[in-house]
Amino acid sequence: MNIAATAIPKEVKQSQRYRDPRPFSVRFREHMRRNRLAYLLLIPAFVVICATVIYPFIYAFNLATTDTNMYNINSPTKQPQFVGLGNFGEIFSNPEFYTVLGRTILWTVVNVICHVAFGLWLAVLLNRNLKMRGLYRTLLVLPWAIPQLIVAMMWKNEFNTQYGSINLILQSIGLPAIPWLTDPFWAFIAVCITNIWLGIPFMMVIILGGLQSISPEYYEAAQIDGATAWQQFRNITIPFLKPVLTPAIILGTVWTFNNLNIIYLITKGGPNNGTQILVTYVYRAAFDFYRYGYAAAFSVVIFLILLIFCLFYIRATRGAQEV
Amino acid sequence: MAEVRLVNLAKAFGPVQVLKGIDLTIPDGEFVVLLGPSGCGKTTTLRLIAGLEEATGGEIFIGDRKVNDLPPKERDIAMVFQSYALYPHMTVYDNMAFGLRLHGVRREEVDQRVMEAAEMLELTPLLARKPRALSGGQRQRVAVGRAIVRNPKVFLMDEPLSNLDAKLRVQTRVELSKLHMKLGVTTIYVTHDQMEAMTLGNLVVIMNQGIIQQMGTPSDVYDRPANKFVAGFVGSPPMNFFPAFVDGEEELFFQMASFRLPVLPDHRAALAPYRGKEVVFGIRPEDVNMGGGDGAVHIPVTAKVDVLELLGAEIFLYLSSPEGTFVAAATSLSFIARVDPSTPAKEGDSVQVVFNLGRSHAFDADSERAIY
Amino acid sequence: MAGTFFKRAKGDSSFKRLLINLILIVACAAALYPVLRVITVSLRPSGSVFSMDLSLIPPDATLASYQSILFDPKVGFWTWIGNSLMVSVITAMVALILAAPAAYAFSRFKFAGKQPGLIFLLVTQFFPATMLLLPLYMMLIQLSLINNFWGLILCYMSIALPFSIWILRGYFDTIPNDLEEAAYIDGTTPLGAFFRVILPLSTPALSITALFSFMTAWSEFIIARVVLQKQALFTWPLGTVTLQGAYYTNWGPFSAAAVLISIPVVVLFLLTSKFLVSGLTLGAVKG
Repeated sequence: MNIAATAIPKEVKQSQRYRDPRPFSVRFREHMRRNRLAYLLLIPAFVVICATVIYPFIYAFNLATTDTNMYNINSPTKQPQFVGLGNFGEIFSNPEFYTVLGRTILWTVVNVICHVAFGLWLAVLLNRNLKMRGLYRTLLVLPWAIPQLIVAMMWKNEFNTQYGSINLILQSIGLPAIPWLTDPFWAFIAVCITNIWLGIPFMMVIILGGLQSISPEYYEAAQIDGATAWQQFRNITIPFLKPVLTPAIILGTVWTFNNLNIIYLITKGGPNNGTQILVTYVYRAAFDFYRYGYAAAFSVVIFLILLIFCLFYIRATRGAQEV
Repeated sequence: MAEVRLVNLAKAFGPVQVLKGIDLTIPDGEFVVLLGPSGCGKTTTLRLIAGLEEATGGEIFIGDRKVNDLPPKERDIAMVFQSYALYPHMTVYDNMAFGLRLHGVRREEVDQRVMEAAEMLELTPLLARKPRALSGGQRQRVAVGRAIVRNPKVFLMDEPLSNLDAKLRVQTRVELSKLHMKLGVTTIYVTHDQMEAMTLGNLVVIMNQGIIQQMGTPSDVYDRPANKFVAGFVGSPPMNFFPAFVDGEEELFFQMASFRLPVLPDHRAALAPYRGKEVVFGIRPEDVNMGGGDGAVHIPVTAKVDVLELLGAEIFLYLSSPEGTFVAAATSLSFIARVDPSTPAKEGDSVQVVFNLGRSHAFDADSERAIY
Repeated sequence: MAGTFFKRAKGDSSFKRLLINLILIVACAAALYPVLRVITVSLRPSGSVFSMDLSLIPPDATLASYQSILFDPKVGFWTWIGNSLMVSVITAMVALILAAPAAYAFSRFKFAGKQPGLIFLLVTQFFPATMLLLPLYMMLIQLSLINNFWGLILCYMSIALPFSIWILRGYFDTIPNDLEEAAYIDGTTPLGAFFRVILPLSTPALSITALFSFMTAWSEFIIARVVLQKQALFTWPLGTVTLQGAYYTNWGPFSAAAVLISIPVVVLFLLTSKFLVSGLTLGAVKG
């Protein structure tokens, strides 16, 4: 047995077009000998991932083509029927799908923009010599540290029309009370506020890390060239933040798009479905209304929407870098 | 202790042939330096001997055992890495004891051997520290210590001094030399620094493009380079090369772009087949002397001083001789002279130099092999 | 820490500095206020939970809510904590034990399917919660693992395992290959180098990864709600939600429970958030 992880010179890596002329059986045996340990190390995790991720993933596609529900899943008399793409047809022909999709996009865009904007603002403010910098940072990260369930409950309490502190404060300065959780429009604003509050720290911490990795020499050089503070921000800070911002925005978008906790726990998608986004809609379809096949098809649709978004986003940012 | 023998050793990474069949016998107890520019295959050779890479052809023997298919741990070798590769989570003591423990050495003996090595390398007060708390030089000594406690048949060292500053490097070089004299273990040392190679090695192996160019004592490779590559690689500043045309009847001479030099009687036989052909004439900077010469053998050459570098104990003159008349389309020749600091030369001066032809070299223009 | 942009804050005019501090104080207050309100509510006597009072420490502050949470046998707080601890610790440990070798393979070997495998690990982040939960739920029904901690742990594994592999691979990538090679020469097998050198060296990264799996499982509600339906098995998020009745929420005890449960998690999180961030960005940038 010999060492599998070998250092290969750079020029070799680049010439990937090279085809090993030896017969497949020889190459296969060599590959197995070099990588036997790798496969051994991978097997336990692979088995568990197969059981908990890959099998359910495939099963979800399968389930999506049936009319499985609470009544036929374990029933001796009824069997779930294969319905082909029927579930997808139902989803796309339901006008509510488009409303909910639109709301989900609005929800994601509003949240991510606010997360990045506030996160960037606070990070830039924090990234200087301040006496209480450590304290500020710790306090500002707090919302991220608290379990989401508690965050949701906490804000639900604050949004209470009669006793919530937000309305109490509004009233104390002479404004009318807002029907936060009983009016669809205000309920949507309420869940957005909660999630924005929740998501800023993540972006702030990531951006702060990015800012700290920028060498001060760039700013010194720019200052010597006579750049204004805004020009420095535009031409140094933003380009240098791109490598950390791109994955952070992708992750933030995916997490927000898929964020079930906040809306489900505060409004359950109500009132009158006014705060329903795709994931809450599908969660309710599955576990409050027990329409499993339909929910699986819906999940697949959500997954594909996200996948397409990410592919486009990555291509767009890569394209921008190449220019 | 053991002899190390490489037979037609080859290594390819995919389509790139890094070693093209190396034959090398390293006698027991020698200190051998593999020297060459980066990418020449010297580190690959070392890693093949260590068992960190698999050979794609040929054989490796340590002692009389063929080790091609043995993992590193069964080859009875120790290695000092360029990065030192100390285990950051272990103390100095544990770093040195790790290999011994793995080989099932008894605890008292581990202790004794680590203490001995630590004493020898003046590491005793540092034994309880973690590598992170050591200076570069101390880390280097721990890396050496980790190798010597094992008491292996062969030491492998991969540029072990390249991460030290210049002063420490010279000092450590001397210590490594002493250590080898004391322990007498076969040592294979890889470097791209010719000073290290010349001062450390009993034997120097010069490699380029996956091939051994020459193996010999330091004075062998310096005074009798086997080919133009070795002549140009060893020595600083490097040897001067001039394209030369071998001319004449009975008495041969070199015709250069702007001057001609006689061929010494000793060299005539070797050069005879090259009459009427182009060769490469080589002369080291220290064999280019200021002065008028004697007019017979040591013919003076006029050259202009382009740049003068004063290095304290010596001066490097960057010279150019005017464009030639004999060889059509030749350009002016540039060469370097290494002269005494008392030499009264200034930049822009025209000076007379003579070549110490007894120490000159000539190389075949095509094969680049040494003619004499 | 090397502050950079506007490092010259000392050169900022005192007006500007005042303004910056003011903005940051307002931001901190916004971050802190809802949290403080939870503490306020938890300190109210049960009669005045619905109070219009805005003061942070209520005039009639009492620890009664804490007392009822901690010592009232009907509440079951300690059962929830015990259940949560068990599920979270097992999730974290199992995920770590499985993820560390796999992450090492991803970091050091060039096995067939490495690239697709890495991309798949990343793609799992795009799954909506129901995508796996629904099939897993049906699997659990068929395996009779509903109302069983192992069923819940299996579901958590689908989140914790890919995440742990991803984070640990990023960390292993930062360890130079020389260390293993030195270990081979010192006399280990490749597997031995992993166990004797790489793993001990990675203790901080391993503990932080385990901690994140732990915290994910610890705070999780949506999946637990589906898998565990028996009161006796409730983890704290499920239990705490039962404190909210259908028509009125028992805000006092609820808030007290929230405070008690959050304190350790918040402290752990604040101590380790930096590592999480570097792990996420490191891995993501490379992928």
